[in-house]
Amino acid sequence: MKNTKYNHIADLHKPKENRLIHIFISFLSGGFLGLVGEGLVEFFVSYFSLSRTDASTFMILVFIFMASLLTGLGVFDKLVSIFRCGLLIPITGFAHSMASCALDYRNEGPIYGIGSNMFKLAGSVIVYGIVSAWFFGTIRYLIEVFFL
Amino acid sequence: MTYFFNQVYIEETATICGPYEKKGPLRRYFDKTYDDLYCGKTSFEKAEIQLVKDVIVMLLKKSGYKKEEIDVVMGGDLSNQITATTYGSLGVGNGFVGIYAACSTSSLGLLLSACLIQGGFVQNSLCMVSSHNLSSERQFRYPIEYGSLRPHTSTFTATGAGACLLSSEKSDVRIDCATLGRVMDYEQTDPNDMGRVMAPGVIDTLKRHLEDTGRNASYYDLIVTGDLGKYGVEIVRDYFQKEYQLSLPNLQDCGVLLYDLEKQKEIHAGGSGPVCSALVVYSYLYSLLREKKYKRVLLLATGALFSPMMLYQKQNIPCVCHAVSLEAV
Repeated sequence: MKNTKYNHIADLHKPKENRLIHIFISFLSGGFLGLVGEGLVEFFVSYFSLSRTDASTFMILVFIFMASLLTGLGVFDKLVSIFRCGLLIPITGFAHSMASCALDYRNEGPIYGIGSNMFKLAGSVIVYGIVSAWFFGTIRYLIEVFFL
Repeated sequence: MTYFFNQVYIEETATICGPYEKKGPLRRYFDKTYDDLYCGKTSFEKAEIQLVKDVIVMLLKKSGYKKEEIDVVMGGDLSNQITATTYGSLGVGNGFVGIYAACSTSSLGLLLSACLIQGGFVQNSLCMVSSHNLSSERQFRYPIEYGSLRPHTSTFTATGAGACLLSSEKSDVRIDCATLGRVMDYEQTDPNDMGRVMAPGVIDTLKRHLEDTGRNASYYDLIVTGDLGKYGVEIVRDYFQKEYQLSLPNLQDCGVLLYDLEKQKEIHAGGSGPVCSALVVYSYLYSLLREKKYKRVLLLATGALFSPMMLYQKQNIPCVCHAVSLEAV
């Protein structure tokens, strides 16, 4: 009873977040990143005569490298505050989370610090990425066996 | 429970702050400022220890006391096992009391020290608190370089250390009375809106303080909350108006006073951390009380008893608030 009354009053003083604008900025920045990625793939295909699959791998490597480097230089978190989640959802966000964790725990040493904490944020992504990959792999296999 | 004191005085205070507080409006009141969040050390935890060491040295220098003349050293901070306080106060005083009440540690320290002095157990007590923006960021939130997005209601942990020397010898400012807070749980779960989490503590403690003392809110020239932020203060003001028909025009927040919220956008709703209230009260308000510009000030330091682990286990965030009334002599 007391809590509902309190929550009612507290809700009146909650500032509005501009979600729509944030979503729009993320859409544009994420889309731009995709465009750059596509450009890189085309570049690798035409100038280094790579197959599209290999070119994609190199494009991802470039993104991971750039995100880690910018994290180390202390720029990436500032970019995120401007360009929002458009930078966090692609592979750059994954690299950023690992690099920032590694940096954060460097004072605790290579074993108890970096080694055991590097996957603090990215760990969930890896675990559930593998689980879902197994799950969908199984579904695909069953479809192939029974329906094709 | 409210305790009254008649022989507890603030003899001297010392404050040290980091770069963000230096850019704020209270800059000239601080004794020392650091431009670098590392404070010349290799980690942020060590930097916080350095802040505590510095503030103790500063306080002893200003007050003329020697290390061994301090009867009790009492303090706390936000880090696990209150390491900044314990490591920083090494070799000072004849007794150590480590306390934890999250961001309300500053007023709890004053209250407990005042009780010891009033009871005649000790002659003087050194109260101190510290916090560091990036060591708390590591402990409670995300890695420092991680670009986590924050809503408008989030608060910014202040960097610095504040210490004050209480004694039974007469000085310009005395501790008049203090109300011990209770742990409150209004089923709040948003760690990005600490003002909302901690406002119930202020509501409860302030209400009981006014009842116990029989005073009106207008008795005080200023009532300051610890670190509710600009939205949290509005909640308290509105709640008192609607529930108790009491208006609180003299209510302000240390977290808002400490920074220039218009210019320092990274602060969002205001400052937080144990040192937030200490930096404002021990420097700015203390000097105003000394100059007799204010007669009476009530400090309501608020603490969110927040543990990320309990939050992940789907528990609420409780809060506590301790009130200390300061009076110009």
